[in-house]
Amino acid sequence: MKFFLNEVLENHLILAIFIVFCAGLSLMTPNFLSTENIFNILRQSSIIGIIAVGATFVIIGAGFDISVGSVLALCGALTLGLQYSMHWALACVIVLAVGSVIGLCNGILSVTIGIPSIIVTLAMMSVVRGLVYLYSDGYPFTLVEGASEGFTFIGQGDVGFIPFPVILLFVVVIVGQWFLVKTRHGRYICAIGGNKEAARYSGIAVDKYQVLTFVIGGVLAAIAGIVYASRLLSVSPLAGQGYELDAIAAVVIGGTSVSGGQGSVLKTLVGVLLLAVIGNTFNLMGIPVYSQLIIKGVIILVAVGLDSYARKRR
Amino acid sequence: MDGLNILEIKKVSKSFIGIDALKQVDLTIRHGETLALLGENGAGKSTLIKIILGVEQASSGDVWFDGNLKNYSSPNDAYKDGISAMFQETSLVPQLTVLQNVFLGAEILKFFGQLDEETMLQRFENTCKDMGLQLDPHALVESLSAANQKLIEIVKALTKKSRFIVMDEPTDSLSPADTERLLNIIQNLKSQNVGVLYISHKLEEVFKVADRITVLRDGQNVSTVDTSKCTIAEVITSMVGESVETNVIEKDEIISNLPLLKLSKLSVGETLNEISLEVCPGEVVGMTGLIGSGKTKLAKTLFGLSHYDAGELVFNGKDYKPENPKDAIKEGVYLAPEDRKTQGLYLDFEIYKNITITNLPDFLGVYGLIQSKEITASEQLLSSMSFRGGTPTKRVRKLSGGNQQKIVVSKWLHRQPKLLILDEPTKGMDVKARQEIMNIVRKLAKNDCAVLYLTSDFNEAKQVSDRVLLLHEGRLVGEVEPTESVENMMQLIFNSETVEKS
Repeated sequence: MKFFLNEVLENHLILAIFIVFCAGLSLMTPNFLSTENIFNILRQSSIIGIIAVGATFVIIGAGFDISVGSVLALCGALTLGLQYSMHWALACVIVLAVGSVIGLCNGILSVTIGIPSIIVTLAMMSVVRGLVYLYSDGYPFTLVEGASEGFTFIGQGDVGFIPFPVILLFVVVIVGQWFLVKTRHGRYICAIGGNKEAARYSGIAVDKYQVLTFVIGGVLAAIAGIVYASRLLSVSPLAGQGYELDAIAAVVIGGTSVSGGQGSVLKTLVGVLLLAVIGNTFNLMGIPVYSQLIIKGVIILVAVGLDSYARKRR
Repeated sequence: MDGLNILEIKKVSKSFIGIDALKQVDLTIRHGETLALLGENGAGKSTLIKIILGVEQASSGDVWFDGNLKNYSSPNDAYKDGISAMFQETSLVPQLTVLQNVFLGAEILKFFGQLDEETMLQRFENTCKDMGLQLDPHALVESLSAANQKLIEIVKALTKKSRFIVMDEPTDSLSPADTERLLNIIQNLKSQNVGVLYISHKLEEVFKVADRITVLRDGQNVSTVDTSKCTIAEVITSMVGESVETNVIEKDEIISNLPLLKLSKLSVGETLNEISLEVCPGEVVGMTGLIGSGKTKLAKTLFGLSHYDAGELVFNGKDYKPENPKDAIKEGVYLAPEDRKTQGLYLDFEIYKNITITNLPDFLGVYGLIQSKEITASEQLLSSMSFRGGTPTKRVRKLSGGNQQKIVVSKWLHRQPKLLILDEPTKGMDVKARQEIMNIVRKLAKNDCAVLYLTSDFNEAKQVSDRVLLLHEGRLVGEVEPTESVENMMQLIFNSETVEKS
């Protein structure tokens, strides 16, 4: 029993908190556990969740990417805009390419050139946001009519009774976790984040894999942008602002170390869901959005603080 | 205390987890005297310095400074009493000016906490005048030569009115001309009544600058002599002592004689100079030398982490010029690096992940990596190395140094190394762990692996190798049989230095 408790506290603390939190909520509000409410929460978390999976890889590789909110907006706007002149599927392919190129730029600037990634992506956040304004002329981009059914399915459709974005989120999480744990590429990314010098001495192509984490981050932000566009059929130039904070919060709450090397995509998902449930509760309790921002910031500081302090004392 | 001595160490002992680093060491330094502290690597010199400065505390015994009992508990207390220290690495801030550095942490203030630049400048110039030095107080430290940086550290110590300075290998990175200048300044310190504890492996310098010499061996006093009354050969003998071979490592006859690795006149920047050597399969070639010999550079060059600018390198009958470790690994050349914590291991990973990282494709199944296969393979490997640190799912951070080192080595073993380079593989290990590592190395050689064994421990090089190469300041200065005495090895290295200068 003691061993079990230690195991839970050490490795599954966040899951335990999540379960306790949900159990408490379902006692207080009976319809919390209704299928409808659960899928509602899941659908709301799908976009942040997809971005957070990308952020998990970047952070495990000892980097940071705060440009993802802007990338989401640009990709969302492009998804809608391109459809005026081409089939929606082709538009999506182009958008994915755009996301990966932005990720590649982030990677090359931070890894190959050597600018700290937080600075690179801070600048990229501004550049990409500017591009969104240029592209949309400052107005919300809307697909007025003729959104094809195939396209709207991505953000609004259901498979059976499960919303498609939720399925997409789970696919991304499962593939991400598999890639991280079961492939050598994932192992190398962990190794680089854990000890870059040792990784170099092990013969790992350190730079290549670190750049790869940023590309993964960019592509997943693009996917999130497509889902966003499909769900709302309208993308404002301010779309996705603050999403990078939510994604990073989910990642660190999920126990991924901000100094790199260790983390789990599955736990990031738990982090995303916990944040969504907390937000949901606050809304029910009538706590204003401004206060929620403060609470979110404090949660990040506590989560990272626990990890960093434990490291410092070791 | 009779007031003659600035520093007195009485019967100081220090033990780390059962190993005695220092045993009843005595040492005295008079006012204005320069005392050289000599000893082989691991003789206890650095432990003694740490105790003097209060970085570490003695297990027993006392440190007296200027007539008072002072067992410092932190370096700050020692500095406050007027003790200064200079290490191999400079402790100056490169981006600040000379003046800012000299008064760093001891700035002179005037009203409202403003810096009193004039007084500081005045004091700096007085000190320089006393020393016969000319230094620009407003130059940035990073723009100065290594020698001038050392001088500034001395000026800094004197400006703080230090009466005792510890100098640990101060001439290590200096050219002969700069060394000469520094030695003159140190001699000048006598007239200022400043005591100096001088640590260097360059005996010629020691004989120039020191009044007396204290020799440590295996953490114990061997002798203290007046420099004027002894010879270099005598000092070497007392440093080395009668070498006690604890355990003889079994060595097999070498069968193949075709060299696997051949270096001809290999040069790398200014660190390595025209190195020529051969290593055959099944052979353990030891390479040893003093601090700054360049052996780590050689290891890095062979592993693709540094690149050579001149000379030839042939491996396995082909030209060999690795661009990066990947190229080296492809050929079967592996390196167990010097610093296992920063270069060799992922401390927060499990043991098995540290081992399999070099060969992950071997553990791939249809659905990706198979953890059970990784664990079994690691278990087998570790048991063949008599590893007793726990199961492969334990985290490496929790292991002892010896067990960690076994993992650094074993991560290459499942790839059948052709050439294994070991850089200081037994650093910080006890006798038993050393023996085990050496036995593993011999076992590898038996299986036809060529081993290049780099160590600064002369005795260890003799114990494990078939031949021992002596490297000094980037040159090969000799090759000896493992039966050669350490004394003669030191003499060879020392002679090369005199030849160079004449």
